[in-house]
Amino acid sequence: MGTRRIRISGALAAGLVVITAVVTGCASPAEQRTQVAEDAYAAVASAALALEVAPGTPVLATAVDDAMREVMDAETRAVELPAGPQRDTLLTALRRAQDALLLARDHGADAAAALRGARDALEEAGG
Amino acid sequence: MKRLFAVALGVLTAIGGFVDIGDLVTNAVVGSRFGMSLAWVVVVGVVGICLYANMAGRVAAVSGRATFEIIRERLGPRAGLANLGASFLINLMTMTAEIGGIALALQLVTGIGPMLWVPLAAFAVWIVVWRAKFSQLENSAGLLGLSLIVFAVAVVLLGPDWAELGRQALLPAVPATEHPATYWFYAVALFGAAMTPYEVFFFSSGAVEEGWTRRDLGQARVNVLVGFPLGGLLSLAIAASAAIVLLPQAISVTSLSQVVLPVVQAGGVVAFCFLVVGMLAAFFGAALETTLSSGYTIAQYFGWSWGKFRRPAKAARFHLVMLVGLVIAVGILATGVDPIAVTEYSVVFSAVALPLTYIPILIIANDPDYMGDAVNGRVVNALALVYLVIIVVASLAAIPLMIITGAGA
Repeated sequence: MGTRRIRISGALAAGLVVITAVVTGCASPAEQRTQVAEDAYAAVASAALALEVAPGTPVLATAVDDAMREVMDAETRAVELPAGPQRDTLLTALRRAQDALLLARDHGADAAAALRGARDALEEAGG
Repeated sequence: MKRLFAVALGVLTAIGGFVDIGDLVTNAVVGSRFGMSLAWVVVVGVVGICLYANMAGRVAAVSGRATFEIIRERLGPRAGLANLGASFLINLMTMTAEIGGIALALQLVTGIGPMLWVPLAAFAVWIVVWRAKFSQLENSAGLLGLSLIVFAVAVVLLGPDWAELGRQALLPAVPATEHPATYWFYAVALFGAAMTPYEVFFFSSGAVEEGWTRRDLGQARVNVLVGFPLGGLLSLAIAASAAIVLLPQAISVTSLSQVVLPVVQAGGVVAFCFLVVGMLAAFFGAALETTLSSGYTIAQYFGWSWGKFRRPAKAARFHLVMLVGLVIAVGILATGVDPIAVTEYSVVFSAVALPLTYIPILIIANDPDYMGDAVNGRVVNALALVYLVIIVVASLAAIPLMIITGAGA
């Protein structure tokens, strides 16, 4: 009885792993690229909003740190995409976003404009 | 006059104590992605928690015993153990999320990373659980948690298009940018956040801690039936603030720093101060409740001496379980796991475990051996059965939806 239960549990766990792999792996490269760009766009947009409503506060510092983590995670996912000009455009936009976030963290004068530019670049890269 | 004050205090603490990190994050995520189109789930969840919390409170007041004690006795050790295992794990996840939430809220004030705050937050929770009286910790956290009303103030100050918000809430539809499976995944998560199992264990054990009798049932009913719905309005205000500010800018919430932005935009530094006090009180209060619930469930199942009404030396194993739980929570957070991710998973797994919590309560509330003439009436039973169906459907759908949507990604 106990062995049977373990077998059933094992089969269920294996099934879940397979379904997860199938579902997460079935998005096309174009869909994955769009998703990566959207996630990074949301991160940069929230940093831009924080810069606008809470300049020079710990809220901005935290929002920028959180956004940087999201953008770096997006970059890791972008590197896994099939090589080509579209991936290169996306990677360039992601690096531009990182530069803009660094500027915002250091209270750079042109941070708002840099974040806006990074957001536009990500929108374009996401298609 | 004294009676009226007690009722008012109970209602206020119920409102302030309703929102925890699960409610805050899930409502903000939902608002930023779906607008108010999932507001109906909050309403369904609030009615459900009112129904079952009231039932659990009545069981405790009439029988003089907490829910978990009776579950083992009534359903046997095996069924009780399954219930205990699931409840304890979900509770531990929620406790981890709450302590992580305290650390993230402190980061927003100081700019210092959350890893420093995690052990300090856990230590503070332990000290309060060890030293403070039950009524003190319940009332102070609940009253300070009322500061979260700043979300409702922010919604008004932001001057939204009320007709559009109302249309989204009353005529819910899946936004064009989202998949229907994701919509339903978040519906289940929101339901799980509203009906978190620990709230019922804490409520029923709290009734025993405070020595409720049949005479207190009226006050308990007012606390639940007035306090929880008003707490639900707070949840809707959180979703609305995100829907007004974050959704139009395509900012889907993934961190606590994003949740606060609409309030800061609306009310500046003053609103932010209220928000931080409210968040810290809500998370700290929920951390206390989950820590106590971990001790309650284990001690009640094994028949150990438990309760804040006893000196710690008289309930040593109860206090030891809570201490071990806190150490595990700190250990989990020390791995660097994102507390927001823990929160999101905890509300989904809460939904999975809902039947294990609520079916036994329904069975006991209908058992005249425990309840005498205070068993459920027909109307309550009819409503409870409807909710049982919803609970079971949400529980069965939670994991498949999580897999299909990549946890709502």
